[in-house]
Amino acid sequence: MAGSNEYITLSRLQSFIKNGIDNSHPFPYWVAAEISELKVSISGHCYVDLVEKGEGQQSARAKLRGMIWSNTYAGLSMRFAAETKQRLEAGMNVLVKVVVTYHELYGISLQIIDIDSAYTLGDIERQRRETIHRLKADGVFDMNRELDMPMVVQRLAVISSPNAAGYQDFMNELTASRYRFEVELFESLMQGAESERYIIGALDAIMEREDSFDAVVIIRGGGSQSDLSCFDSYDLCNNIAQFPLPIITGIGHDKDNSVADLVSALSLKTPTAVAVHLVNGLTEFESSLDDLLWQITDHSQVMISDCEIELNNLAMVLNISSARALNSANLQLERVSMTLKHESSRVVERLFVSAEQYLADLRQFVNLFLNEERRCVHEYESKIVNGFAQLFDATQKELSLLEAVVMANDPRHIIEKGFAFVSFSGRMLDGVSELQEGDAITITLRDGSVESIVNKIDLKD
Amino acid sequence: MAKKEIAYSDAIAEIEKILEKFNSSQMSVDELAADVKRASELICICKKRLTEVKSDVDSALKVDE
Repeated sequence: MAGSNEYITLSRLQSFIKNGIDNSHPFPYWVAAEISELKVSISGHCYVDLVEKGEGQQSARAKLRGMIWSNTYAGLSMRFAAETKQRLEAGMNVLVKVVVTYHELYGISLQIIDIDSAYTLGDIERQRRETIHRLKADGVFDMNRELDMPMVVQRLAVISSPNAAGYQDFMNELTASRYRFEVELFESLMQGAESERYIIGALDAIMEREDSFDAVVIIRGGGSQSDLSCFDSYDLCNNIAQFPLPIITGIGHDKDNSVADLVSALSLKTPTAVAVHLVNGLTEFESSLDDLLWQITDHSQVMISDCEIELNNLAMVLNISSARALNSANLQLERVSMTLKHESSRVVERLFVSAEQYLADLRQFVNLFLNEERRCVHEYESKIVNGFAQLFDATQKELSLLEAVVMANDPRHIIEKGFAFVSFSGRMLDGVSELQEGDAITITLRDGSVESIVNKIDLKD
Repeated sequence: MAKKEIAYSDAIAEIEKILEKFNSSQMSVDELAADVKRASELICICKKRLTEVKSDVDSALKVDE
């Protein structure tokens, strides 16, 4: 049955609870938790909600209120800011020294009496590394840096707070130079919890007019060193990395770079440094233009001069070559005519010699011939003479012989020898055939003749 | 005779071809006169062209100063 005769008052119960808690948790604890909310009251006290979320969870699985008394908070927050360069704010993971406190009216809470900045630093560092890793894994980490910086960076989209000293310094530096820059300011909060959203908003606005600008400048400076945490945020850095224009940051660190500096195309220390860099860029460009002009002048002069020299050379060579060609044609002609002369006179001379030779030969031949004829004639002559003499002798001999014969055969001679010859009718008889008996023949002897008549004829057979 | 102006590089090439002929001693006496005349003509054209270019370039550079 509800209700009991044994009862205590609420405050008594609270008292019990309080004692119980005080007794079981007399000493402070170091607790790691996340600050899900942080408020500072007018009186200077800081009220926080500490939560613990599971891995990758959005909802808390443990939660407690905490508070820092104003006198503690003053020192603690300053020290924390100095050591971490950040302001203590919601979303941070912290290691705090707490005393469990139970109040009758407000229930259980934690009184925070100390904080270990190193834990938060470590956590911040871890988150930074994680952000960098994520950006690298997405392949966007180098994207803005790999954009080509335009040769002339003159049209600037500046993300900054107009009242900040950094912006003023930046503009002063630009206007002091002799170059005209077209600067359009995209106002933004540069610190505080909202800064991330504003800067991303400014980037979006610039992206819509991407073609009107050469580069984006994000500057912040002359302020506290704390509260640069937005420049480590994944969303902002993702935006910067994938931005289609090169981004130049000058967000005024003392030392380390934010992740935003690592992903942006160019990061410099201060807004003034950015302005100086931009002015130098234009100075260099101007000087490179001067250099190009000088080169063009120089090259064109050299080219023209080279052409002149080449032409002069060609003219000279033409001169020499044509003279040489004429000369050699001349020489050739002379050679030919000389040869002609020589050859023709040689031929004539040779003909002469030949003719002389013929003449001599002819003479010689004629002489020989005549001699020969003469000899022949002499030979005939002597032959004739000799022959005639011989003939004469021979004929004489023959005659003599004949004479002898005739004489021998002379009847007178024969008669002398004692022979007689017979004649008949006045003719000498050499045979008896023509005689007849009774013919009167004459017989002649050496000393006279006898007349006789033929008595008998005896014919020899 | 309205001829298109010969290009500078073509003129130089033609001059060099004529000189080549001299060197290779293929030149005949008949062609000698005509070729020397042509080459001299071309050299004259080139010199004139060069003078024009020089003055154009000078005036272009001066304008920029």
